[in-house]
Amino acid sequence: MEEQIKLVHEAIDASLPLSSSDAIEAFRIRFLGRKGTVSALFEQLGSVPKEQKGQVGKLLNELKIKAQSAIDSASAAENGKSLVIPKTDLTLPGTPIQFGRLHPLTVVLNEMIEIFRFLGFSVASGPELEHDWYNFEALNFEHDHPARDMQDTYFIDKDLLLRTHTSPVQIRVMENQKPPIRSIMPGRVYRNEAVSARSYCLFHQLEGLLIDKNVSFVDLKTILLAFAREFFGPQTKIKLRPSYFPFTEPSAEVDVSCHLCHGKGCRVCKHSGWLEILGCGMVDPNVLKAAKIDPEVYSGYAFGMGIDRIAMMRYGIDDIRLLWDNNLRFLQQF
Amino acid sequence: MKIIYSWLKEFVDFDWTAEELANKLTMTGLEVEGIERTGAGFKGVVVGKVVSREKHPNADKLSVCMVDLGDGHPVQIVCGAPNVAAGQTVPVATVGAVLGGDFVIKKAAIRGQESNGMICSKSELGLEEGKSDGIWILEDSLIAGLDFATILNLKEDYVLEVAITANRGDALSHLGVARDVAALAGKMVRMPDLSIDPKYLSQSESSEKIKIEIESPEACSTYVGWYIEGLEARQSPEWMQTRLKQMALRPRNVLVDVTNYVMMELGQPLHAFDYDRLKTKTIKVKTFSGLSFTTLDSKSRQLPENALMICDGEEPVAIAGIMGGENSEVVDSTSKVLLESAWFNPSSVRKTAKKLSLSTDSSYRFERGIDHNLQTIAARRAAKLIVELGGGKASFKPVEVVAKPTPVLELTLRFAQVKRILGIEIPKDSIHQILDSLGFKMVGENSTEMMVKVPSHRPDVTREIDLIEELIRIYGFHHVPEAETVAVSYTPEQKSYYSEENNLRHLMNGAGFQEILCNSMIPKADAELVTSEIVPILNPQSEDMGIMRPALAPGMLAIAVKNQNHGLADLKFFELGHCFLKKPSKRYSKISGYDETIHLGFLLSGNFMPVSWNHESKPVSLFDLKGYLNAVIGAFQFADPVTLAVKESSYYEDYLTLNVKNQEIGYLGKISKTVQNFYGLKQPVYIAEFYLDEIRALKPRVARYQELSKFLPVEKDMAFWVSKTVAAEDMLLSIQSVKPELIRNVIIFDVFEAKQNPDQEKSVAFRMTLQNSEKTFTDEDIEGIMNEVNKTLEDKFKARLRGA
Ligand SMILES: [Zn+2]
Repeated sequence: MEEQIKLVHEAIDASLPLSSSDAIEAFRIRFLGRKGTVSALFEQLGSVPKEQKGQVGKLLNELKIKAQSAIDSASAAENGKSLVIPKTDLTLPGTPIQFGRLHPLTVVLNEMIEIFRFLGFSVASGPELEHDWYNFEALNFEHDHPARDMQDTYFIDKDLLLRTHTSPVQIRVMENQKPPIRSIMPGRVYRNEAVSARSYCLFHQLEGLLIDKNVSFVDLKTILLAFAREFFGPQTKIKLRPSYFPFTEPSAEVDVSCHLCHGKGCRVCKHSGWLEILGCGMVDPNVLKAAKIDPEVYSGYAFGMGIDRIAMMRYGIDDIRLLWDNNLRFLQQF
Repeated sequence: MKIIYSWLKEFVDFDWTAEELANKLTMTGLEVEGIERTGAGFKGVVVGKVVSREKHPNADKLSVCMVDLGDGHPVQIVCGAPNVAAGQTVPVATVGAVLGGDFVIKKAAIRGQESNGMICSKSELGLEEGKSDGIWILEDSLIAGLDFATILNLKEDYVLEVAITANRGDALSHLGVARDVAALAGKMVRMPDLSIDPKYLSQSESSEKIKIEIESPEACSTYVGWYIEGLEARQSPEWMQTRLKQMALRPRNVLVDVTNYVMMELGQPLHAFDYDRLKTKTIKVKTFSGLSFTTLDSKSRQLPENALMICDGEEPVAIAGIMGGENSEVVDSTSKVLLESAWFNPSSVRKTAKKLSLSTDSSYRFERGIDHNLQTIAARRAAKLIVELGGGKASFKPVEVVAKPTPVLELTLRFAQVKRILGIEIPKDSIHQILDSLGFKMVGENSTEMMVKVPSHRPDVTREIDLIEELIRIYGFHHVPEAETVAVSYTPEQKSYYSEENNLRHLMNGAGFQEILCNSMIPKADAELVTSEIVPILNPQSEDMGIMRPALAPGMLAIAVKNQNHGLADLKFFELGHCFLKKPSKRYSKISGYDETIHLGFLLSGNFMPVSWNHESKPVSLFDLKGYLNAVIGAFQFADPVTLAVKESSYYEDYLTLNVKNQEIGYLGKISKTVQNFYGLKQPVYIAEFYLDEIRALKPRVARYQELSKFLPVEKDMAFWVSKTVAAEDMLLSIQSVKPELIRNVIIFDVFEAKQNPDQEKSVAFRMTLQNSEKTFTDEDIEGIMNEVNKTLEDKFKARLRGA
């Protein structure tokens, strides 16, 4: 041990003088750094026989002081010199390269689409200008029935309108494809409603349709719970309330447990612990018939949700118009 | 629909609190959106007798009264009302009483005189809006000391706001909601008292006073008329007024109030005609066209074609099911009435109401379907209340005309079908109990199915599936479990553009473009700058949203201005969305006569890069946009090359179209000064759009591996003087075509105008990358290629090699 200490003394002497800050730092790392030579010797002190410990400890301390004072005096000399000018100031900022971002509605929509694709649904689309037949009649909205008041409609001509929901794509899918059908239909829809913080005259929906043999409400509830847990979190619960949509029967509104307060109640869920996010039901036999599918052979379910409202809930956006203002400072938050 | 808790209890027994009731109703499909607690807005108010009244010694407008509160020890109260006088019976808020929820009455000294309470006006008790003229003077028969809230029957109550879906016309009354409550509670509903005390009945039949003829049995299947005479113009009693006010209806007189009350109670809209104002005593129900008619709200209305009207002989007196006429309206002097209770066809009422833009409580109910067996019952209930509350006598029998009987519908419910749709079995006794309490009559049953008669109050139930919905609605969705597994039948993924579009979005993001989403409905002026083939909306919300966007450019420019006005000048964004033109489209549109296609648009403006210490901040140019465009085209991977054509456009001052095999697939341009000024943009804006539907129809490039050359490439520069009329792109393509297998790449690295004749000539410098896959080039090889390039450009473009 004492021999080793002596060797380090010689090594220190050989390293002097220290003529640059780089050299000082290298010296410090070599001898006093965490894995430096002196530190390594201190670690060996534990295995030194008890009676020698005092003596060896004293020698080691002297060694350490020698190394430290070499650093101190060299540093003092170094500081006395004029400042060293670095070749480059690496703290300068990088070239301002910016990626664009997706609109928050696209972010939410994509996330939902990915979940449903994972669950085996393919993505279908259709026109925004739509015939009355596809938007209403084939979906079991009778002429002169108050159900038509549920959706204030923009018309292009007597028969042509701006689709009020993405459900007409259901009919288009059923026309083009034989069951089994597993499709989701995201898209833009229009309602002639006054623009306010709470509602806008157009918004986005995502609908799903599944037609097969032996499909029941159990399957519907299963897929909805799976989606809710993927989207809102694994603890999410769902609750179904009977409701009415002309194109499904039985129909239900689906509430999910609030992801912010986990059911305790907060401002976002209006202190109910539940968020109303989705409508669903078993496809009405009249809709299947309109699409020339035999309701005695096939059954199916459909569900739909408003993307804009869900995005607002998720991000805490309290005015829907912000989504359409496209202020870049707003958009860059997502 | 407002439902009053205490009123509901008259029809069915249940012991749930208002909140429990609300939850249960919500879980059966009658969503309760709110609960309002009602009842007396005061506590501690009693009947008092003013024993004496003196003028206040220190205030002209105040009185000092001694008021007997029933205990024989009159108290002193200072009162400010001008109409207070000795001998009056008045409501008194005693010390400790609470008014308006939180105003506590205390013992006080008013201008030096002790006051032990307050004599109240109607408005101070919350029973009249605005300010009352003075204190409320009560009937002398009331005994001092009685609790005033009890006297007014102002018990604590709840008003539930229930959202009734469009299919549930049957639930637009207390009786209707009671049926659902009965089904939930396992009880049956009670009908209200329909018996009329004989002392209120006259000996004559209504048919002696009125004849009824139905000319349109499809539109009016049943018409019940009841003749009542000897009426006085009276106010309805407080309890009825209270309920009507809770229902947000304004009490008027017994006649009008009872018709409203019975409508809210049973769901049957009723109408009362002033019998003396009917010109002949024959009621005809018939259609009219093109008539002008003044309704009882004193508005003259132009009636649509085939409007169903009620006529006294030939003159219309009411729009059937919607609103009565001014000419036969009951007034205060009315003593004889004809009470109408009828069934009108839902779609007939709806058509007329829609065209008139007139929706009433009555039309709302008829549109949603009224129980076709309810007319006589409702008429009897109303007649009873009118004569009991308003005096007078009713004929002992109404006129009932059934022009078209409605058949009773029988439905078969297969138990297997219940299981097939719901995925669960509902126990048979639950099925019985639910259907029974909802009013369905069992007419037959075996082990696999049952037959039921649909009650007349449920015209919405016409199919087996409707029965299944009724069952689960009451039985509860919480009985439906989630499955352990998600079963998937294999379906080949249908052709979808989702991934492709999303890839484009990410590509744009990576190039620094922010995604925006614009309104597809734009102002006409904006759209007409783009094209004349616009698609207008017939019923736009405002002029600013009158036209479906023909391109993405107008929306993007509007957003550019908004951001500019927020101090954001460097703009780089894109949108992917549908655009609309009024012109036939053979290939893509699903709607004939209209062309709906998907565009990808991008916009550049301001500086190319934010200000930075290591980069020049330079304004964007068309060539920056063109660069991005080329990058996107590269990503599309077409089999055929994209060519650009310089075109004229009024929207753009520099404008190029992108084409593949003569098919236009997009454009790019710098917006013209006119457009820039139209939008109020301060700096130049560059826009490009791709037509994605066209692009999808193009042949994709199939990548094939090509062996990489072992021999090093050689770079050679050549610069030419050439006329400014020559397109650089043409020169570039010509060079490449000289020896495509050897000239692997050509770029233009320098362009400038000739000093001597800058308007005529320019210099274009090319850098060619030469590579041979078979051997290393010799100097002669390279010289040969360069000579050939030189000759080609000389021949084609009269180009002169610089420095030669
Ligand atoms: Zn919450």
